[in-house]
Amino acid sequence: MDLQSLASPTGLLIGALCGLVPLVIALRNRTPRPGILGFLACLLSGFACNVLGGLPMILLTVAVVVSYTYTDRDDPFLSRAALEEVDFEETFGAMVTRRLAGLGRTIRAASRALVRNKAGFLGFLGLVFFFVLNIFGPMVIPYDGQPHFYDRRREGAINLFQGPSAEFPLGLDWQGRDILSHIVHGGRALIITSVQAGVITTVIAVILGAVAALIGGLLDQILNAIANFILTIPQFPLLVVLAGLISFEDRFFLAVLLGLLDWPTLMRAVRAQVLSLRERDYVEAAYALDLGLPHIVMREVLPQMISYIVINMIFSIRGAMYAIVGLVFLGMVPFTEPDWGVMIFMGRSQGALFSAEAASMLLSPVIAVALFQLSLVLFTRSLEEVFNPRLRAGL
Amino acid sequence: MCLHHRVLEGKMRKLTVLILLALLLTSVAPVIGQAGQAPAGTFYGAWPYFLPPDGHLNSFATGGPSGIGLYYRWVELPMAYFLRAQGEYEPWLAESWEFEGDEAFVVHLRQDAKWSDGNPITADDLVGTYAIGRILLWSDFNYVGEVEKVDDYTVRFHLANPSLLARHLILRTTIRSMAVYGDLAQKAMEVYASGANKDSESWLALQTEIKEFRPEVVVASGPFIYGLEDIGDSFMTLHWQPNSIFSETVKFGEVKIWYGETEAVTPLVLDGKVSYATHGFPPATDQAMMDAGLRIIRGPYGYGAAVYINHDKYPFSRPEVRQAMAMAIDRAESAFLTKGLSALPVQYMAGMADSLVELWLSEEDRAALNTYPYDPAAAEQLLLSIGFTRDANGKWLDDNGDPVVGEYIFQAEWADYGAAAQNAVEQLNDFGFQITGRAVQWQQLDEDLKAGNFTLTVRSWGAASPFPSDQFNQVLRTWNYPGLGEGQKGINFPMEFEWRGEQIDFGKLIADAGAGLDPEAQRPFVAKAAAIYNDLLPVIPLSEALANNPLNENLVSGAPADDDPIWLNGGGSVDNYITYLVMNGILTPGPEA
Amino acid sequence: MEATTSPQAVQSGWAAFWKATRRALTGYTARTLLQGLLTIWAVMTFTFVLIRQMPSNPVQIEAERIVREELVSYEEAYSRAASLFDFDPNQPIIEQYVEYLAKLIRLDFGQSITSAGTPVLDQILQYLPWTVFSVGLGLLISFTIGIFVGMAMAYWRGGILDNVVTALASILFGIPNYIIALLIILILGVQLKLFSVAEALGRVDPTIEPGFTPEYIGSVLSHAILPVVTYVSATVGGWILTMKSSTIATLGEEYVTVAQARGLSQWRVLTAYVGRNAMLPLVTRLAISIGFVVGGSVIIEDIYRYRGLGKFLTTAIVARDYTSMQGVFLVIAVSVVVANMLADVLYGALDPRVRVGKEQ
Repeated sequence: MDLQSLASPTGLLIGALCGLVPLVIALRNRTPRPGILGFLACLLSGFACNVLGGLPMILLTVAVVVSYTYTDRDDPFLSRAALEEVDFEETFGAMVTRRLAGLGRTIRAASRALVRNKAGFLGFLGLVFFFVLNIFGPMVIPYDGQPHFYDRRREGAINLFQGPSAEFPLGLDWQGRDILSHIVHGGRALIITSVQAGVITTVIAVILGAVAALIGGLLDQILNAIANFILTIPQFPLLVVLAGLISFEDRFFLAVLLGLLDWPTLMRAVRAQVLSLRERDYVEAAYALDLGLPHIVMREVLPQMISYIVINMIFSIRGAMYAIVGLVFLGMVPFTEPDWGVMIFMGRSQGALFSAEAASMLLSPVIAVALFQLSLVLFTRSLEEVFNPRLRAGL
Repeated sequence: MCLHHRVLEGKMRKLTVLILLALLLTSVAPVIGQAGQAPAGTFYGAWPYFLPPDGHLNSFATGGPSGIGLYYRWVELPMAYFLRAQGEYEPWLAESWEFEGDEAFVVHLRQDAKWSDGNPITADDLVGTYAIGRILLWSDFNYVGEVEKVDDYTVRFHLANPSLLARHLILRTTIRSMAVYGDLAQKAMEVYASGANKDSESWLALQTEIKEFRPEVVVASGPFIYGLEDIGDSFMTLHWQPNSIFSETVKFGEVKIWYGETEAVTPLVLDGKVSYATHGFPPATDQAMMDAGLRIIRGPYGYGAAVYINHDKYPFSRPEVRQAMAMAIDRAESAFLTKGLSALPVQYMAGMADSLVELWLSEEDRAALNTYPYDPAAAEQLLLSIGFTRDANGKWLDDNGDPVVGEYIFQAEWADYGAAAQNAVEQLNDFGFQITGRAVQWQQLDEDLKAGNFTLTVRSWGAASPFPSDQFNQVLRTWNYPGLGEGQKGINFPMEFEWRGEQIDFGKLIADAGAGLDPEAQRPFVAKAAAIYNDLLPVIPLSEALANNPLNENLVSGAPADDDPIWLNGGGSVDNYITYLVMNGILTPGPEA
Repeated sequence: MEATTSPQAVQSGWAAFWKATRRALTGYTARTLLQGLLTIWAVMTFTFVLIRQMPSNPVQIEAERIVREELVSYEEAYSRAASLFDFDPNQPIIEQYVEYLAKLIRLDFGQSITSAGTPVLDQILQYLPWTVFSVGLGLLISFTIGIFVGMAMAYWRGGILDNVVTALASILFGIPNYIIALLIILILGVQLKLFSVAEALGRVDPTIEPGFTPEYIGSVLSHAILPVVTYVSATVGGWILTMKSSTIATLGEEYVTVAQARGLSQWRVLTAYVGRNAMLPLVTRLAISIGFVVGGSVIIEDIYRYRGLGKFLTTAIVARDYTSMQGVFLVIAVSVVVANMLADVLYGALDPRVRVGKEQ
């Protein structure tokens, strides 16, 4: 999967083409509003991530569009439960429509839940901002990576730092490069690595937690012992040591490492939850029916815990970013520019802490990291509502 | 049980020492009364010294007085001070010295020098110091054999390997008091006399004993002294003492040393609380210091950044390619980006500091050196002449038609060298090479460099030593196969080759450049080695680092003008110019001290 | 508020605590102890091997330092560094390990490599109190604030206090502690000049004679302000939010409704019934956090030049001082294990349900 892909004009075209699908369906169903929204959504996501963004967005937007007409035409008070009890004699097309409508309704409910919590929505907007900054920013602001010698030096200055000016809104860094361009280009790798680490943590924790609880016995004990062991090692100092040991040429490797150190807490929670779920009838029934471990985990356990797991993943992402920036901050890992963490490290070692002109080199990445982490934390509030069936049912 | 016993024993010993100390103090007290009064004024230094328990008073071990940077030599004096500009030594604890042919080096100590406890500084102290130094494998013993006391104030060092370096090392050694280290020195002499070598058990055991020795007091030969109670959390204090040869000349009664590395010291310097600091400050801080009205001393270090080349990698193994690279990189730009005003572009490209080139090479020899001025066109011609071509995109292809590619690794944590490397990558790529830069932890880079796992990297050409042979060896021995361990190749620059129709043994040539006791005899070897280096460029020197030491003229007065030759001594811990200026009373308390 | 809890409640709390402790000392704890020891051993062995795989070694690092600081040639620096350190790069790691283990059994942490002759235990004892003091104080303050504010917010939820503090707590919770530290120095110290950065760094003013004098204690406290403020602001948000949700959950419990129905005063219900029970999960968490006090301050101590165990550890890592590093890792592992045990005991002693269940 090419996560590094940048927004491109081709993407814009793909997005526009994808957007036609929900638009046409919506116009045929005489619901222009969701159609136009769907078109815009497809356009943007296709623009941002090409086919990878465009195609899934077709599915989502069509679902939303269909959900409007579907419920409008039939029973407006139709509940989800009733939807799933439709008899099996429907045609394939009807089934697809029904499923799509179900999905669309979930999306609408979720997006309303998302907006309801103000703080959470603010966090969501923050994340969207960083998404836009990292995906579209590079199109507008090219990366300024070359050191600038005389051409940007102020008269008589012996360093290349400069405070904010009209030409360079965030000023120039120690090599005379545009700080704004480093902010725009310097977050992507950091965010991607953090997200990767969060996902890896979650996957490991969920699988191990479920396995430990469902299989039990010796395996359970061993997994618990390992979890205990990892929890006892001081994480950050250990990372510092590991950083010296392994050369992180591949950022993904760093993500794996962070994931390997971070899973025990979530794993214990999943294990406890699964243990308690195991007692419940439907899981026992599934077990008795010999439906297999993956089935039980995916179908019975996960949906119950999804809220907890997703929120935990967000915190893992946050923890991973804390660790990565911290390691770079202390100068303990080799790094590549542009990167927010590297800006902080270089700013510190180049004396930006004590020079008013250079302060921007430190402040800009510091604020970027703080805002991003803040958005993550706030966003969990909305997630709670989105995933909380009780709250959502109230819609 | 055993532990308890040891603790008790330790306490007893402490008690005895304390009682002895008390007796000593009461007997010395009247002497202090008679001697001169401590001058007024405080000197404010800065250094990341060691705090107890890591900090202690054993100057043979890390964490002792020798761990307080340049200020150590204000407590324990060396025999002489080396004046780099003149290449001469000013006698301090030694009165005079001479070589006895190729056999020995004789030192005559001053007869009026006293320790802070009132005892005279004698040959026994010097011999004892070297007895312990031998156990600690001091590099002096690469040149020195037996150390013999001739009379109370004369010591003869028998030379195992006659070299001017022996004189340099011996004279700059600090003498330690045998009132403190006498027992250890006695044991050291016994171990050495027993025929033990550095791998013998008795030798190693004594080594450990020396390192673990924790004296209760410092016995100083310099005008300043301190005790454990003077080492504080954010500064330590040295007090004036009357018995030193410099006690009457120094103009400061107290030295306060702020604790900290660069980042911790910077606000203190900018607040005007530091008289002088030797930390390496980044250019932004440099500017802030200048804006704050501080005077910045920019003494040369004698080394600087160079492009290191792995001579196993084609086409970089071709001298023409290295010469072209030397002309394709604008060294003025490189120097400015490396350290702002605190780096100078290298002029002579001869493998040693430009100041040494002027000292050692005749005008004629100097004129013969290629200074590789920035000239991409000439570089282009040179490459074309050996069959290189440019492809459609203007990128260079070597004579086999392969693109000139390579990875340039640099130290992630060393901002200055990192900048030098990044700039070199830019400039070489502008010229049409395809180089990629990669940051590596510096420890890892050292390993890679030794093992030869690199194509291009950045490290120092030259060394702080005033001897050309040392400067050459920094590259050709320290980071090249002759000086490295088994299986390690380093830059793998061949040391035996044909040059201008003559078979050269480069290692021997450099050794000859440092051998013997007559500088005049060394000169031709130095000149030839420089010429070869200049032509073959084992590495490509870029800039010479300068210190940027802030001097606060509100706190100190009397510092000489910027063109005074004393500043050439540099801001290191040994032979620091401030040490010279303070000891000789040239530096005095400023208006606010 | 805790002080107003009725004497009986306190007494029964203590009695239960001792009972649980006694119980823990028999059968169950023997196993826990063994487990703890095994974990510590595993961590020790793991870190022992790991740190020796880092590139370079203490002698090379020291040689490099000597070259840079004293301007001597590398060869001279290397031979000097080699003779100064108690370190043999050629000794097989298994031999080193056996030696270390043999010493450790006698509670001997060995000697520092880079500061030969200095016992690692002495080093740790020099730095540990400062870290425990600053981080511990921060933890205590933020825990206390969290308990009271969180409870108040739950009680008057939906009010102005709730909304304002929730927003504030989320913001503080979202920002990494080192970012807060940098902002404090950069904005409050350097730009606004609210305090002198030069004087605020470090642990204590060295001109003041150490001792139990008001000046010395005052200086220690004033130097701890920056790190403690940083620790508090980085953690207090988490405590507040947890306490709030825990209190809300407790408010819905039956026994609270019953207590209110019995006509007990608001205050009494709040302190004796709600507060106590809502605090339960937080107390366990506090116990676990105590375990991380020792190792949880690496970057903050670096920024504030506050020489505690975290700063010492980074210095040891940079200098590749294996024995010192090993010692710190060991101390951290032990404190985490002990804190976890403490958390178990506390939970058993404080939760009436667990208590009753066990006694029956």
